[in-house]
Amino acid sequence: MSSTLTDATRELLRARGGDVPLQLDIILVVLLLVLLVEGEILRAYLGAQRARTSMRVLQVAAAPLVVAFGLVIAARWIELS
Amino acid sequence: MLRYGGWTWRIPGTLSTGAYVLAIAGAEVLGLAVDARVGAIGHAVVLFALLNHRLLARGPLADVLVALALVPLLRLLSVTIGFDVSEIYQYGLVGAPLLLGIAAAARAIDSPALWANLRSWSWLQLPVALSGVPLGLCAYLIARPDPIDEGTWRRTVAVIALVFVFSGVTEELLFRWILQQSLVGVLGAAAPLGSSLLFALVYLGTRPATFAVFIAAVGLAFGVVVARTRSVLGVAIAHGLLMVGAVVLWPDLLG
Repeated sequence: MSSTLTDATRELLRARGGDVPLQLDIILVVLLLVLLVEGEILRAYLGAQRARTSMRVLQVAAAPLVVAFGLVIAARWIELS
Repeated sequence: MLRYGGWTWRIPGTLSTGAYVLAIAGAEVLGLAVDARVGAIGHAVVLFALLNHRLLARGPLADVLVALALVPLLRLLSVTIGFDVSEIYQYGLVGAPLLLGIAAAARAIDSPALWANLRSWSWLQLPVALSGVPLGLCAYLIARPDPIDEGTWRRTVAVIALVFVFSGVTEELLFRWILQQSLVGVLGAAAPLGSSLLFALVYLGTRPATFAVFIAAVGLAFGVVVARTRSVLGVAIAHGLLMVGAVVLWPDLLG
């Protein structure tokens, strides 16, 4: 009933027994790594002002993905322990 | 307009915006019709392209690119964060990082008009906010979700807060606040139509289809209200009340 939790997402979770398939986790991690590496490259090659602006733009996706990554890791750790 | 070093490319803002909306729609359809993984890869590519295009873009299009990036981010978060917990808690698990993304986008755009939309209040916002109650009843009658077994009153309060903030309010901040306000610079008066189109797109995976049509119509009406009143507060509360009514209140009372 919400764009954040559509019926398609619910079915995906139910089909995998309430767990997200690993390949989807990997997409999230790869995108996060690419954004973090890009951020470091921009920080090294651009001037301070442009680097700060660029970092703000990349953080739009990087900050939520870091939180999401933390949640995924925490869930996997709880699952294993 | 794109500028890098001595190079300058002039691409109309509407053309770029339309191309990205089509790309987001394509990724969404791929996720639903083919496989969630294919859709997620599509959304990841579009998100990466939007952010990198923003690094080179100037003018109103730059703000639109940041705002548009939140849509593939929403879908990526919703398909990658899923655990063996009650579905209600999924709203918070997806909504919390998304809210962080919205805050980061607002910081990156940093437009005075954007912040004015969030602070502006008039008594006209009160009936707008209360419209969420009857709209919630309509949403429940269309979708008929199962009642949630909240257990204790503390859990009921937690569920109401999660649904209100991370579903209703978060969606309004994304679509009517950041996205619609940014689209004004490129689409002008058609900005509510553009944001509503994207809002309808992310509801493609919701059933029944009549609910998706209903919520798209509500989105368009909310968009027009925000454009006329220049405040997002009323519709944010209305959407929160709509979701609380449809998911928690009405299923308990009438289910």
